[in-house]
Amino acid sequence: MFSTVQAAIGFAYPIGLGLAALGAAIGIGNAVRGAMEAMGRQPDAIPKIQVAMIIGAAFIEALAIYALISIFLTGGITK
Amino acid sequence: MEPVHTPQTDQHSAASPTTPAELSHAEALQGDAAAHQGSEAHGGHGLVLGRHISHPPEPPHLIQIWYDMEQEGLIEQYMHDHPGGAKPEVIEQWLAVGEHGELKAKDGERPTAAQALHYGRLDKPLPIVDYLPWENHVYLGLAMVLLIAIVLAATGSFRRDRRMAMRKPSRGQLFIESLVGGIDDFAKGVLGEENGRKYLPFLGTLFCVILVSNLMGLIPGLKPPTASLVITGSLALCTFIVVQATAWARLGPVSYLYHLMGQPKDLIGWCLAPLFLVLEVISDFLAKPLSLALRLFGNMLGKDILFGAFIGMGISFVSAVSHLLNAPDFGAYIGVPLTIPFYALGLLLSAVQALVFALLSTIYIMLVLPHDHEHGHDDHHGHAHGDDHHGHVAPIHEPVPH
Repeated sequence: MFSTVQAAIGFAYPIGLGLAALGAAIGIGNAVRGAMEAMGRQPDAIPKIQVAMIIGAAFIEALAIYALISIFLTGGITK
Repeated sequence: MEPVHTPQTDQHSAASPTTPAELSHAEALQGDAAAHQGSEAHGGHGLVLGRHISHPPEPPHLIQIWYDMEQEGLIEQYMHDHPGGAKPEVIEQWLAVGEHGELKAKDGERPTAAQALHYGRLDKPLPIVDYLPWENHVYLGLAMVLLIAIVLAATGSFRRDRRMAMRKPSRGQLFIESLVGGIDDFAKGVLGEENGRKYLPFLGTLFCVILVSNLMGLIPGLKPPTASLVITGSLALCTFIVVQATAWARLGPVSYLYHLMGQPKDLIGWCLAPLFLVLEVISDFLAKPLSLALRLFGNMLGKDILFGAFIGMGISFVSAVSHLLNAPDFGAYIGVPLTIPFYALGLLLSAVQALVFALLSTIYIMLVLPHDHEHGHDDHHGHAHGDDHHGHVAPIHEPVPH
């Protein structure tokens, strides 16, 4: 029914996706923490910090999204 | 997207033919089908075809067909059992089509609700929905029509007294005006007074089109066109062309190359220039457009798949309960609306992704603008903003990591 390769991919994909999400979560957590601290210190600069934070978060988030897309594009293998 | 029905399917979609004409026609078709049952190969067109259904299947050809047939040698067995018959082809993963166009699962049983959801209701004729290559373009066109209608309505073009729109703006008009003002402030904040105005139409259009497209995904029955790589790729291509055209026009060929080489100033810089050239070319020509396209596509498709998974879960729940209660499968008709909490998430995600796309496009444009020019504007602009706190987005001096 399923080949060994399919089974291996079926096990590896969720783990890889979880790792990608973990890394992105750590990254975004750090970024947002830094931004929050900066905002607390300098409320005047909030718009500027927010924009920079969103850009950074988008870059970090993109990496997790790539992992997700790789599942969309190759998920058919495991079927 | 236009559902393609087979003639046979349409006949059977009337569960009980009411008029005598319909009845006789249906009977004739069934007789016809029965007559052809023995020799199934008439006409060259076969069943169907993976994702794209080019010919509507005809009744005698609608035997049970499964995804696994190929793997399990069922096609060979079928061909052995029906010598001279048309070779069945794979339709879809678990999809089977009965003689009368109804769905059947692998063992000849009815498919589960989640399976049937994909193609239509249980025990109903198969609505063969062809995933046409241009469906996303249709939805994008719909998004644009919606957008134009919103703008016309907001500017009072549908009102009989158009002057009143100037004097007493409606709530919608005020909302749209504040949106446009916000985008204007943002573009001017990042790009400077003059350039901001120049790129405002492009950036604003990008933001609005993506926002409306994303939000279309929250309306049942519509599909967000941004959940397709074709559309997001085209949008990213627009940004790419605008950025490159800006770079060529503003910098000129020599400065453009100098920019691509990482603006070397000393000997070490010039030694590293070939490396920077490769890096910058990859970054500008591949990484930026691809990351723009993939980010939007991945987010939107991920949201869609999340919704689909929870819709399926709600339907499976109802199916299971009706099975336990020995009732007919209500899951084919209703489901527990488990997706409701995710609509809030979808709203947030749609807005944030549209914002991020427009924001990054702005940043990419800013990066290729001549720097001294930009700084002059920024200084002037920054002082103007230091005095009055409008909550405008302040100019960004920090370069963005590639």
